Amino acid sequence: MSGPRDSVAEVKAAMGVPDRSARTLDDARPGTGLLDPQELLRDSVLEIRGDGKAGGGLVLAFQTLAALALRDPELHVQEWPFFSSARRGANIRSFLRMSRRPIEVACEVTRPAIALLMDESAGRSVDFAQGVPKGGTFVLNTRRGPEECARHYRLTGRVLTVPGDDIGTRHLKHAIGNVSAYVAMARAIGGFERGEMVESFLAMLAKRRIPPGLIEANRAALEASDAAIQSGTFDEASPEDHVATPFAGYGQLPPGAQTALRLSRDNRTADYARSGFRLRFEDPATACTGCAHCVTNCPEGIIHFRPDAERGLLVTGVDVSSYCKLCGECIAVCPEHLFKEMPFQDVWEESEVTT
Amino acid sequence: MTTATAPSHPLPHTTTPAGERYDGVIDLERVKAAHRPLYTARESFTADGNTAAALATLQMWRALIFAGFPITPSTKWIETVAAKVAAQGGHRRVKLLEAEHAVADYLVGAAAACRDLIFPTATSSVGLDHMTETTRSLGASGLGNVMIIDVYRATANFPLCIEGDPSDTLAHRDDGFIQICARGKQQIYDTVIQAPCLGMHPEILTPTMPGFYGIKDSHRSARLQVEPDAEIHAFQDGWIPPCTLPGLINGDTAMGNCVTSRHFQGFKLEQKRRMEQVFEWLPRIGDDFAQRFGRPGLAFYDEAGWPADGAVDIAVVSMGPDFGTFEALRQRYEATRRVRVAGIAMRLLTPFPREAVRRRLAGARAVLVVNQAHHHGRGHLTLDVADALDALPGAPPLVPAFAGLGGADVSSATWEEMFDEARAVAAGVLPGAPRIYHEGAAL
Amino acid sequence: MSGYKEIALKESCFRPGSTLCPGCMEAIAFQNVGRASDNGKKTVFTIGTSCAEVSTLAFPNVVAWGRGDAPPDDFTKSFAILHNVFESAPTLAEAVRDVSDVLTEIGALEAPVQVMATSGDGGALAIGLRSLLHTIHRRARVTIMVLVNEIFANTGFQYSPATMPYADTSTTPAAGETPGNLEPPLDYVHLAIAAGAEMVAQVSPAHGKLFVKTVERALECRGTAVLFVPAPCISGWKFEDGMTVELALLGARCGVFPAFVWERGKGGSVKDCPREAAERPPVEEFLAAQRRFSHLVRRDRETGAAVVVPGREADVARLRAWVQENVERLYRLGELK
Repeated sequence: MSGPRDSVAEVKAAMGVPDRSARTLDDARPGTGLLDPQELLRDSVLEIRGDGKAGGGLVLAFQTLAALALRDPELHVQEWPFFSSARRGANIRSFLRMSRRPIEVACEVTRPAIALLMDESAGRSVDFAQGVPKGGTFVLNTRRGPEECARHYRLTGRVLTVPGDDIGTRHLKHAIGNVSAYVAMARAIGGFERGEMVESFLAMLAKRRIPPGLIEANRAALEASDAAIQSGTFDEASPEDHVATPFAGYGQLPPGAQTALRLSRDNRTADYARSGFRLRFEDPATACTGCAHCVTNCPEGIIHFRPDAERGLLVTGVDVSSYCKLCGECIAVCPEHLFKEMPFQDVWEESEVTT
Repeated sequence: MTTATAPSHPLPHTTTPAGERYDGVIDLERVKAAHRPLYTARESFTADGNTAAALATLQMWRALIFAGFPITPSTKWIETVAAKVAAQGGHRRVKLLEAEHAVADYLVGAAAACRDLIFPTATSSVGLDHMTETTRSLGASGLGNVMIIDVYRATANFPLCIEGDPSDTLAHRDDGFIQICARGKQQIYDTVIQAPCLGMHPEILTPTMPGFYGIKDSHRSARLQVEPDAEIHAFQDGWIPPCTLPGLINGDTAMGNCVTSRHFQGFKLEQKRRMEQVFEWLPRIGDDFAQRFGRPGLAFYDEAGWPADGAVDIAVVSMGPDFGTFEALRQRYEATRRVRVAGIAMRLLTPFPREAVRRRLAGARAVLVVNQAHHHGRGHLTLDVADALDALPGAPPLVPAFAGLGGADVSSATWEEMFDEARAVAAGVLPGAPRIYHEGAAL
Repeated sequence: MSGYKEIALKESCFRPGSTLCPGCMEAIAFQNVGRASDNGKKTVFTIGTSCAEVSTLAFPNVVAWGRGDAPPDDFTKSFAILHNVFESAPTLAEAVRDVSDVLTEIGALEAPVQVMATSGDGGALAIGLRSLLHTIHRRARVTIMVLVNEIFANTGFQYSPATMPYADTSTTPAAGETPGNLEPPLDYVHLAIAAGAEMVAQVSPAHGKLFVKTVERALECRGTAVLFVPAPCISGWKFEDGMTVELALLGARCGVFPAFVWERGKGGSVKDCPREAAERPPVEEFLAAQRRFSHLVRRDRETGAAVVVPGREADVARLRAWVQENVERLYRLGELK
């Protein structure tokens, strides 16, 4: 896809930032090795972590991966999600350990050899690459290519990308990337035949009594995913990147967890919105009737307006970048259809990279 | 986004770690002035334990609303309160909730609404158990202005027993309340008066659970000396400052947040630290009380029979009114058996005063621990004492005993049987498994 | 400008940044209640354990409450919220009310305080039925809002005493021959009236003007005002984005949870929901929009019509009968004074 890459280059040029092509591991230091997941599986434990959003398919992707592994009677797995109470849109994590030996360790996975970014908007508030040892593998569900991702996220190691949401939309009428993520992860781990990957996934669907038509659509999605994976190896991280801040105590905690109000101002829930879309309000002809239904039906209360003596409350805009979860109520309720869902892709600028 | 309106009630406000506190919202002086005293001079009369506890709460100007629910053997607390409030009139209210769950929830809402008022209740046994989800929350909440008086009664059923043993309080060890045992009418009255000074101390902010034995103390009458309300106020006011953390009425604040595992431990650490300030402040409050009222105040334990050097053959650890029987027998047993016997009756139960107990018991050759609550092992009190003695090189052997479960009588003969067991251990016999003692026999 | 639009000019005590699902009706309710309570009185909320609580009251950065961007200088705009345990919201509110009242009587508190309790149907109708009915019985001068999404949502969408017949929930799954929940829900409106409430209403923010007026009336009420708020749950009922308000309106109009307002001494009325089934939208439309009824009714991909799943005709007929009975019951309750 040439579009995004061109615009990044254009923006950089406009900003006067020197362009540099991604360096590969081979260009860098000699003797820098890649971690071999099969070796880890055999000799110790292969640890995998995924970051995504609640309702975005991450948990399902990991569960299907675990099921795939268990077809081999010699493999042991330990799989679990971590999420708080949020059911849709909030960040969640999933963990998976695989080994040829029984897995006893019970602590969290903090140095995964393979890290998955299921949802790029989840990646805005968390460093999905944190703790991955040198030479690890990064798998991303994204329209962008591995080189661009390596640069943007500052990744050193193997990078695999797959446009999972688009494949989901095309084959399953649903922009959900768990099928593609599953395939890409299986490829990242290695040692699985395509046939195995497909049959294992479909068997799990059959167990959940998914109708046959949908099962075939999933088969098509699985195969399309396998064909769409791009990969490369890169060396874009500097030593300070992706290092977890060491625990420095809990600080002064208030008795009984009693707090001030308004602390949610720091919880930017705009990332709950479906990846690749944002709300847009446009009213060039002042068609707004001032009915105020959008204002009173917005769960977040973020629709801006000004009072007008004749019409009522004239909408002037929406705070989409901070809190809009793209619930769609305003879209549904506006009699003049002034709210729309628009495709949106981040323009990656140097300043946006988080570590 | 909003139309500007002139503020209708501007007030100065202060930022605290727990939200914003508005000053001048509640005029506590008015509340104090509205108090109708029960006693204007010292008086002395007979009263039972429930009455002693009730009078103490009624005399506090900060206690405006009395929530409660009847359960044997604490029922007379709410009845006494209801009778006095009805007779006195004024602004006080008795709130009869439909169940103990509601009583506990009510205490939370009230204490959070105004952190400078005291909200007491009394309950027992399964009534306390009904409150548990809330008592475990209260214990961590920072609401030191809640006081749940536990009139000890054997907890649970199969079989049901309505008489007094401290199994109820001991089952709630980790609710997070400061638990203090009182024995005798005077000590019950005095403890209830002092408890809020401890709970509401700015470094503690932990609710209190003063307790006493059901039946053996709640239903027995003896002389009680009550103080004039004004003296009690002066004493409490010396210890209870206006709360710096906001309440619901005077605050812009959120109480009862949830957290993930990332922070939970930190809050428990914070809660424990506040609880451990009790070791610092309890003796000081007790000393101040003694100075003002001329009789002993709060202490970690009562003691009897200790020589200056602390060296004894048998040290007894017990609690409650049965310790009085021990006190009565001690000297005679010493004389006839030619052994040195001393004892302590625990008053501060939670947090358990490990250091003080260790120092006290260090010179004993055997420690008889009299447990009065069912326990799966050697006894709640036994484990506390074992923990206290843990760091002591050459710690004396423990002789765990059970007596008085379900309020069973602990007779002189029973005490002597327990002494004999301890005496043998002091002489070098290995302690056996814990036994239950009744009517002078070991079972 | 009409009264309804004036509400939007008020400052809500509920803020963005909660972790509630996109389009959650509870959030919409809180926004509106939040504005209606900006009326010159200090507001105290008590809240039972629920989705609403864990999603708006979480340390360190999800406390989605407070008027304005900073603690206000005007004391009456300040706000406080208390969470204790699952079923405690009504009792907590009653306690705050009592303390305010006693202090006011003594002359120690001049500023007026209004108190609102909010629970889910789990916290108010299951374990919370005791606290709800007794707080009402004691005529506590508080407003109790019960957000009825017909499930225990926070624990993952299990059956609740408010679950409507035939709903698929995780503990009453539609599997094999079993068509979901077979119990009729608790008649909670009737219970609230019988327990002694001064005002009882069932209305969601989908009836915008009515909802706001009802909340305002509830806040003025001299006894206990109980507000049942039908709250379509996008994650639990499984419907499309942007349909929350629409579904709330549809559910009310077709008779599953009709809008109803009742005041002691005056009686009440069912609003926007005719007694005759033929004059109401067909309940199949309501069912077709939610995957929790996909075992009964589906939407035809070609025509877009709501079609009963073959073999389920008798169940749907029974459901229609229950809806009719539901509507008639509320009409009868309206006659009680």
